[in-house]
Amino acid sequence: MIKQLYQDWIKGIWRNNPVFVQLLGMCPTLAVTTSLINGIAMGCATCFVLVASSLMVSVIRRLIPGEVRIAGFTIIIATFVTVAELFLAANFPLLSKTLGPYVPLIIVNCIILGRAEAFASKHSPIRALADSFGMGVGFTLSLVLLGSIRELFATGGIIGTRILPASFENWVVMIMPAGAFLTLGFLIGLFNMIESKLKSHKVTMSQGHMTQVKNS
Amino acid sequence: MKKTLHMVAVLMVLGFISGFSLVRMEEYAAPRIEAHRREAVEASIYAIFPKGKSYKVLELGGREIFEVFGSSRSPIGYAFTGKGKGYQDDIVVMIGLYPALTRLAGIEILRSVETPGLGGEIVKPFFKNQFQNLSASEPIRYIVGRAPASDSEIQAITGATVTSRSLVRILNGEIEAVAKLLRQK
Amino acid sequence: MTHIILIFIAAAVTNNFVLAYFLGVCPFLGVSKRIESAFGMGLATTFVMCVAAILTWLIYHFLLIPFNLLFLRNVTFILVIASAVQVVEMFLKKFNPVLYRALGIYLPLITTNCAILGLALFMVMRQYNFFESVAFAVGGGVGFTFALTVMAGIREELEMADVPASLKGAGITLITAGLLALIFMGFAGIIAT
Repeated sequence: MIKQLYQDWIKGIWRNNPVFVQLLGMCPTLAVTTSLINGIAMGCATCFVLVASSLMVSVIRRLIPGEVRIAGFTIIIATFVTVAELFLAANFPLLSKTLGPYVPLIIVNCIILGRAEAFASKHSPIRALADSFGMGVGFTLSLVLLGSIRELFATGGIIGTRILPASFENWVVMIMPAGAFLTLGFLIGLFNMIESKLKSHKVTMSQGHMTQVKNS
Repeated sequence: MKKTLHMVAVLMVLGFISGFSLVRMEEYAAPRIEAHRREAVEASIYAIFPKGKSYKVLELGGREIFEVFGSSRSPIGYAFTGKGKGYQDDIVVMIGLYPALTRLAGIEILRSVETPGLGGEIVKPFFKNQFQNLSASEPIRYIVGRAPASDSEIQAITGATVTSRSLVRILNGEIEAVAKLLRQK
Repeated sequence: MTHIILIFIAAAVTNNFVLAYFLGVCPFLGVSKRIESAFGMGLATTFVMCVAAILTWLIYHFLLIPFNLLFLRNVTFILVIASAVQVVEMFLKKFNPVLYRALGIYLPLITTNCAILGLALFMVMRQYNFFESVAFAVGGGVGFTFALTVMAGIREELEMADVPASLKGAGITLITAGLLALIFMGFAGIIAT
């Protein structure tokens, strides 16, 4: 049982990463990753909505008739997003202003509706919790990665502290939309490259193991 | 028929729960959000008028003008916001005028999404300070290529002509409108 | 009048929804493989955008504001959009079944297209009046269609090119989008006056 839950959780981080593998939730990923902090904030907000709505969808999954399930999911998601938006505006006004209109846009973040439809509506609450939390963490990690890279090259440092030498000329384009697209494109390419290397490594390992077994 | 009724009922229940939770959340959040907004406005007013201690809100001609007071009874200046399109998106600026309405006390940028390192530099002191004590009797002009010669000229930011021009345009429009309102008062 | 035209041009070109605001990137990546389907998707989205803009503007100004229900904005907007998409779907199925079949699964997906909800939110944030909102919606849709079609044209050519394996698909598409965004940056500031 624990093993199953662990599997549900871990797949959202690498193997089924919502951004790099499933290519979902691109809008906020590109829009708010102008810095590490913004990436974390958006990731946490999305994770909250993801977990809360998946949990709720799973709990009431037997009560919603099939025809209106998308409408029902949407109401649930929109409500949690508004809760998150109001909470952010009330307690973190600066972040709220920076993230701006992209917080309500979490409603149409395909990850949330996607997980609700594909997993939460078909599994128990505890498994839905593990799955959605894994996806949320995976999403946040990708945002953090993208945000740090963009901030590093655009301002020379992260979280306000300068890391690169003073002689480095800031790549302002990284903070602009063009930089977002380019960085994400290259990151996906890198991700795919690592994935294929891992896969071919596994194949040669198992092939080696098989020849060993044959020879013994 | 029964199925349709069931569907409608489920959606209505969800709708009610959603509405109720949002009402409660709004009650929690609204006062805090308003407080933050007012803090931001106040911070910008007192940044322009460091000697300011209090302000009164005047409603003139459909806009909010802040009458700023120091330690004495007479106002030390007026502050009001201006908004307009910059290079990327809207720029929102708080403008300060001295009571004679002939000189600017200064500006504070409330909102700007201009290009970082170029138009984004308008929030830096070196640029904002140019507006302190600038003449408001004639339209402000931005200068490129040489140093400002008169006291209604400011130096534009190299590589950010559009932002500089937009900001000056916003300032001129707002100052003229507000000065007229205040003179009529 | 010029003001309205400027809003239209801004939404279509200088502040292009996809390349400047990142709205509608999912269909931008998903449906931009063939020019015909890209163009069709763009048109359908533009139509939904206009319908959604009108409906959300009316609801915002005649329902949410008068009754002090601004916090219900998100929920009402997304429900209006979902219903609008449903209606457009039924309309297309009846009057243009060819386009309906061509768009397939992508038609209901317009609901989750951030461009539609984003359009409604921006329009409310900028406090556009009715005609400004319509201009904004049409401009945004035209810009979206333009970006989608250009991307489709480029991708059709890219299929013959020698793209590194790891960049095939999403990787090279995003990089192309980045270059397109750089190009569109050149338009910014033209409408500052």
